[in-house]
Amino acid sequence: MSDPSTQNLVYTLPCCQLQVTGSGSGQQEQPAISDFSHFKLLVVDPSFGVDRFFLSGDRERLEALVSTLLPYARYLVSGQPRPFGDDEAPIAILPWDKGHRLRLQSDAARKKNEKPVELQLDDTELADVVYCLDRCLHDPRVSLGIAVPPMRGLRKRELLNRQPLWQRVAAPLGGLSTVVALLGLAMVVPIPERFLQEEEPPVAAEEAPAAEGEYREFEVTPDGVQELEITPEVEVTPEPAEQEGGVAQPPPILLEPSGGQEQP
Amino acid sequence: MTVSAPATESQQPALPPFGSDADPRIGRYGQQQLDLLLLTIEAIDLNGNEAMLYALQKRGYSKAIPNRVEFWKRRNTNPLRQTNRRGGLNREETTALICLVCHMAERLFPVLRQLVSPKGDLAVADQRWQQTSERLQTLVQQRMNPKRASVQQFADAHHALAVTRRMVRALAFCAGPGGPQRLLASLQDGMRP
Repeated sequence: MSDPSTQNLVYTLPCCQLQVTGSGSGQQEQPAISDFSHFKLLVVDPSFGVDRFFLSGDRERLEALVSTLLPYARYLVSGQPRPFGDDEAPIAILPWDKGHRLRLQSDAARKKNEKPVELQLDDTELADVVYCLDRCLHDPRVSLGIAVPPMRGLRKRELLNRQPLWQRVAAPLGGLSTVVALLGLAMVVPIPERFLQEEEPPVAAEEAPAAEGEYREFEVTPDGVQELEITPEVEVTPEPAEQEGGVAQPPPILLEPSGGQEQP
Repeated sequence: MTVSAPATESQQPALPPFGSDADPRIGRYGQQQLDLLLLTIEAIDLNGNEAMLYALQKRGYSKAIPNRVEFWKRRNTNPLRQTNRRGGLNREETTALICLVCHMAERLFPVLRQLVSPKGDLAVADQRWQQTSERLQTLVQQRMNPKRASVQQFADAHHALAVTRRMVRALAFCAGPGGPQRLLASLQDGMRP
């Protein structure tokens, strides 16, 4: 005889049935499970009316199921299925041949080095299982205490993986090969002879002519500024003795007003 | 004592459902996908537009989207639309549209299951896919900007069928109380660096 405080909640869909069992204090119309004990998940084939597989376990196993299947379903919504759960995980799922492969391994089986049980699911069955798990997790009558794993948008680099490799590599490879081909072509074309002639040494820059400006002298006095008179055409000729000495002679200094204005 | 929990009606709250720390903003890609999902719902359900309007009123989203004109305006934030409207969706509008898609997916769940099921008569399944794809193709060509390359690709029947399959599959996995969270995450693809 079953314990009257034991409550069962069954979530049923055509391909899946999830039963959660625990103790609670709810009424018959409004059962509630406060202390979860175990669950049973049954996947059936409705077209033939036969059971596909049966899975049961405690809270940890249900938590593993939730943390594996719900993120996997989230990636399916993005159209980018990827495996969840490694070989050591009690539950793992990966995309497999237009469907999904669920891998189950208990602790006892892992200790005995037994192969994990592998089950093939199609989209319908997986959608039913995810729906049932969702309903159980969001049911206010059941206090499982299992948090739904956080779900965030994919990163840009993850989105790039949507394209096949050859499509992603095609554009950079095309550009690189074009550059290499153009460089090779440039190496083959001979350089014109006019570019091969030796360049003449650059001609030394001529000395800049002396600036031609009017030379004026001023004297600052307490009364003001007075312009001084400059004696025009004073030519300094070097002495012959200095010329014979071999010393470089400075050029003659000509002092004349520019602009051709004659001084009085 | 065993009680069978009703599976046809969800117990999700009217204004949900992404968690307290979730930010329901979506980008350009998300707006395109959201509108494409709504179009897919219309392709599956011939009376889908009216059903969506009814669901908006009934589920308490009339504050964010009060009538069919506003609904049309929100859908026209899709950059691929022929009569595109600038500006995005605010939080309430995004939440309302995401919950609407999930509610409609839940309502159409038997049809979606039938479509994605590989069992049964393959000829009948192919015919269903073909009809859905053709309707989606027609809707896209009627409402989207034909100058856009991604809209022009819809002229190809194979491309339209592939997109239809992807959308129907997404809708099938969006049904249920956790659907809005999954759908929001998928609409935010590419927003993280």
